[in-house]
Amino acid sequence: MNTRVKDRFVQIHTEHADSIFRFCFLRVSDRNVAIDLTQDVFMRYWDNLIKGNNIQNDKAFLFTVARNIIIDWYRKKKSISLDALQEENDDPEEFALIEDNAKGALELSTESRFLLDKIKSLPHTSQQVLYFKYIEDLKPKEIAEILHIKENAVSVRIFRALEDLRKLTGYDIPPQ
Amino acid sequence: MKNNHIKNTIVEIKKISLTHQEKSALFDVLDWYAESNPSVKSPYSISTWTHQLSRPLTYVLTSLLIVLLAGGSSVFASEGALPGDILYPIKIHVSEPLKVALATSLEAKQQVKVAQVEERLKEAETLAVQGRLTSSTSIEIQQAVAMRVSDVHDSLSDKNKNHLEVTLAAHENVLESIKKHSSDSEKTNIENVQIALRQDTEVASASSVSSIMFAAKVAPMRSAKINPSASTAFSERKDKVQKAIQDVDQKIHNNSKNNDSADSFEQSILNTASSSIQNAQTKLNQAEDNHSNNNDDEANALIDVSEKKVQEASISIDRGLELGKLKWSNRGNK
Repeated sequence: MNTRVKDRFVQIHTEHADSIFRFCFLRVSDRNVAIDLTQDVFMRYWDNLIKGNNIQNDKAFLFTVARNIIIDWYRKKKSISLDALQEENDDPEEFALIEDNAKGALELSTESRFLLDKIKSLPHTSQQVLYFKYIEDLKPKEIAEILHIKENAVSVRIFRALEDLRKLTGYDIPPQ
Repeated sequence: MKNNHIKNTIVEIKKISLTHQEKSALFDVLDWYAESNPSVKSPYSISTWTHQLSRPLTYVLTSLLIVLLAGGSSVFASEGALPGDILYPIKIHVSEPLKVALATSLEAKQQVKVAQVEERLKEAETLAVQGRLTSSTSIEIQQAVAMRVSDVHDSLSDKNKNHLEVTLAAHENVLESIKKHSSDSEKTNIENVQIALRQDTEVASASSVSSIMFAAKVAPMRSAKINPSASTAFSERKDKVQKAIQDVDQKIHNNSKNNDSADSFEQSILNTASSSIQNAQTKLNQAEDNHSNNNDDEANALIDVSEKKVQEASISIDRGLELGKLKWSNRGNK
């Protein structure tokens, strides 16, 4: 086995397993499912490494795969759920920043719950850029790669999301 | 004070992580998976010595090397390359930008860019039919399509916007038909391309709808001035769309007869096209009714939809036939 590839895999797993797990957990609200999805993400990452595919930015690649896997999970869940009959207009590609069930499982202060409620009232596209920028500390270029939009569009979305959040909360949110 | 609340919220969310035991168990599974699927990469692979370089620099160096070694013919040889092929980077980083640069007018440059979006989708379809659409190639195609659509859609002329919208919708139908006849793992990769495609179709439709709405706003002003000829123009356009519907309907009929297998993606494409044609005919009839009632704005909007549906069906059928031949020639080679 190519030890350099394995070393890279171990290093990336050590660095990003928690971020990918958090990203999955907040969207599927189930710890065991989130671990399974995280496992799938890293298996796909390994598959790509051993094929010699050029992965320019490992973190952005992992989040792109995680996003696709979560969408698949939502779609499969919907196809076997009676809820599907009532939620025909739901868009599996657009999932919320934090699922309501997951929010209940978190130990959050009153003020944090207030802030999350306000963030959840923003469009999903705004929630996603805020999550990637402020929780995962990703650069606009990396967010652009994950969401398949231009870097400028990411900056615009972040600016607009902060403007909206400022109006909703009355907070003076400084740009970072 | 309030900014502290924001920081606290971020810190609280960031605390969500795997426990030590969970991380250890996850690593054990992944380690077993890695050991069971060892790297078999060739030591002579180009990316072995170029992976440390930035992507653009890698492509430039690789391109220069190949062009020097094989001459300009490599650029032309790359035309049929697919994601994962060695010449593919030459195709998308040398050959295609060259075509855009060589296009003489803005309109021509836009047409080339729209054609390149279509080329990415054709690549996805070809790989899917050949059973070679992997998770990495699907991501590569998603990103390439999305970046190109995002790059061009604001600057496109109305004609090119409509063409882009119709092209994206047609290939969505083709991919959907291929997906129905694929294995579960292939379905996932096809769906990932479709996700990007649906988002891009929304972008293209939004810009196209806004241009139709603008046209609808100015139409009453125009029709007040040129009312007699407007009626003639509608009639001519209606005849043209009606003729196109008949032609595509005939094409569906002929190819359904020629198609041996009722349960194939080719037949599935023909069925979808048949639905599109019926839809186009309904919209055309509604357009005519509205025109008779002097509701020209609605009539024009409906005839636009009808025309797009016909074009969508026509592109889907042509592509389905191409892919059908490809599938049979592949079987012949095996």
